[in-house]
Amino acid sequence: MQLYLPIAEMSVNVLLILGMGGLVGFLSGLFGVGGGFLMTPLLIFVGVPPTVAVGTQANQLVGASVSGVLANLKRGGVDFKMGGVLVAGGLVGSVIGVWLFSVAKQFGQIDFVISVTYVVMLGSVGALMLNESLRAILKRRKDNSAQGKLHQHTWLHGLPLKMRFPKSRLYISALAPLGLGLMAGILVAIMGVGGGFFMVPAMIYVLGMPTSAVPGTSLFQIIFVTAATTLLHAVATQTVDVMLALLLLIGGVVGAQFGGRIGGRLRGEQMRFALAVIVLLVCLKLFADLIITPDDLYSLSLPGAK
Amino acid sequence: MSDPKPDVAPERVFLVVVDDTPEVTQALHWAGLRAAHTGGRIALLHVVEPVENQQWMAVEELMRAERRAEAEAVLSKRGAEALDWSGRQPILFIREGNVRDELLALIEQEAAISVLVLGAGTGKEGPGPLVSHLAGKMSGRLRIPIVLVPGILSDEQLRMIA
Repeated sequence: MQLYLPIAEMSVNVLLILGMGGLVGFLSGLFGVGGGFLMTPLLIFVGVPPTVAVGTQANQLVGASVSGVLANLKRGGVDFKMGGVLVAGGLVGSVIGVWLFSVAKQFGQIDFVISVTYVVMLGSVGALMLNESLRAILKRRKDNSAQGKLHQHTWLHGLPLKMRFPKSRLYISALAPLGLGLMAGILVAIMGVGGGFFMVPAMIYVLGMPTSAVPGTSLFQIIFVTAATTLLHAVATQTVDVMLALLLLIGGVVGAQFGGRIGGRLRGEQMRFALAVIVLLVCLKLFADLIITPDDLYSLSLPGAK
Repeated sequence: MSDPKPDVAPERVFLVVVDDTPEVTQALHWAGLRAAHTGGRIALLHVVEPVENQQWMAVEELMRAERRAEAEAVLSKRGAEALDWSGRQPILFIREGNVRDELLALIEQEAAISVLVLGAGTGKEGPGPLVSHLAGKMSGRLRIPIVLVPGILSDEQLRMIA
């Protein structure tokens, strides 16, 4: 079943895209990850132009995080004030990111930029996860949870513009979440990932938020930043393929249901190991594609074409 | 927990489920007064919601630790209240999982528990999911009786009826 994607300018097998959406959705339901960092490389592997993969992925994430935040809303796990500040930073970041993206696109280097940032990001995330899970599997970890008095004072607490966040029981400078949001916004724009893999730890360890409020607030932030980024990409770089996003979303929603149901019954260590291996394999493949001499040495683009 | 010996009348244990609803107060106070009158004691159960899988193990462990600490804080606050009202140290249970399943499992495991005391919510949405389920569908199959304490009762009213 072939379908023509108007923006990606290629035909794809509908079942293949649905299946990919389902697979990534399954993994994200299983681990509570967004899955954007796997989806973009998979799309590139099946031949979707990297720019379209990133722009479309931002669109797909809007839908995926709306469903995620609803569940957290019911449990009261969203700090709207903190989320609002993160969004403010995120919007600025996404403008900067889309601008960087279009500059690199003009110079014809955007595919390279996307691949390199992905290799670096997947490599470090995969290595960290592998390290964590290996340590857990090899020897049951000594009680590490007692290590954390979370509220150490760092230079972050010396910043001006202090703000109260009652829900998170924090009194910190608004500049910290603004800066964090900014980084997340740039990530969304350039890589098409929600950035939960770094936002969640950063919100806990840098901002010092209580863990109960973190997943919901991070999703809340991602909704607005991905929505804004989708719009910006659609206008400025014309890389959002709604057909593709829709197919991915359908597959993703179904997959996430199954993943969530199974994930609730399994303990994390082995699965985390498996995810780390998948991430590293994807990273290796991207890296290999960067250094192996391609069959076509030249890529053509028409001046004036979009 | 020691098994109750058949030749000694076992002490009555009033099990109160502690969550963040206000009607826990009424259930706890009634159970406390009742226990004081009948030479029984209170058991408190608090069920912690299990942590969903997280990408980072460190995050997952921190979440578990924080939930555990919260549960202990809730139980120690309510435990002090139970001591005030019943005059005896309560038995504390912390479980992880689904409230309904854990409650039924605890009742089966702990033979000493003799009465389940639940507070019934006063809101429009009904008495609460636990009450609806246990008093509705499960009440005929439980090992022990259930007491439902309406959430609108004042301490004065409780003193008169307990």
